[in-house]
Amino acid sequence: MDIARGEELPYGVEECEQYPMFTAELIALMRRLIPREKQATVARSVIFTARKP
Amino acid sequence: MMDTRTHSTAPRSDDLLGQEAITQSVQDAYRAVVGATTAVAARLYDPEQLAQLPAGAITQALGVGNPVRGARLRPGEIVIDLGCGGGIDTILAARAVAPGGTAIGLDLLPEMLTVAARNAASAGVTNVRWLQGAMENIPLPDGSVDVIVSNGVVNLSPRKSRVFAEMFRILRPGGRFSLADIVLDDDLPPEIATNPAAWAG
Repeated sequence: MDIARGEELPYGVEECEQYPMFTAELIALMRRLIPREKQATVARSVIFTARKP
Repeated sequence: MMDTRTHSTAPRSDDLLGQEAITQSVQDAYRAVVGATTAVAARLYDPEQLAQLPAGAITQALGVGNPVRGARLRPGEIVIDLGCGGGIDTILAARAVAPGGTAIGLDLLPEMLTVAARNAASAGVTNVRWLQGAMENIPLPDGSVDVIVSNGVVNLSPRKSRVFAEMFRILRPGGRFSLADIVLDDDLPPEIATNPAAWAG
């Protein structure tokens, strides 16, 4: 099965803060423990597509 | 109409420990956040898509991408939305496969399915079905869907290999999937990685 990688979006602490599942405690931990230079891109969202043979 | 048939689920060596605790934590988190924000939908969806959605579906959007946009859905297709939540992607998919097609919203939480069904009714969408069940044990027959979409949900599972096995099983030959999900380039500090809220988010 070939898997293609499509659109990507960066997720930093500010974007995570928009999600109510991220508690204030967790956001505070992220701001304290993740190096400042990495806080804008903690993760990425990616679209994966594939077709079953 | 809800379908609650089940399939066997053999454990795998790459399943995470503490699965029940993780799953319970995720369920608790999602029960607590229904209808909480418009910021997520505003970032992920096109204005044309947002214009055809009811406010309830927009405020309950908690995905991480726009998998329907990349799914190239066609009229007549059967599409399932794994972890449909408030139903935003299910509604968009239902519109894209009409006429003649059906969108199925699958979610573990009956509360979410109730909300999604209400949002679909507000949108005037009728070619939808709602299924309560786990993505690790999808209550559908082999080869029964044309397309799978999912938005920020597979990452919530402590049994991701099982989810992908189920996806492969329910897709018909030639069927396809479009998944939006989160990837990390670096390990998170352990205090963050082990926080229950991080599993839900």
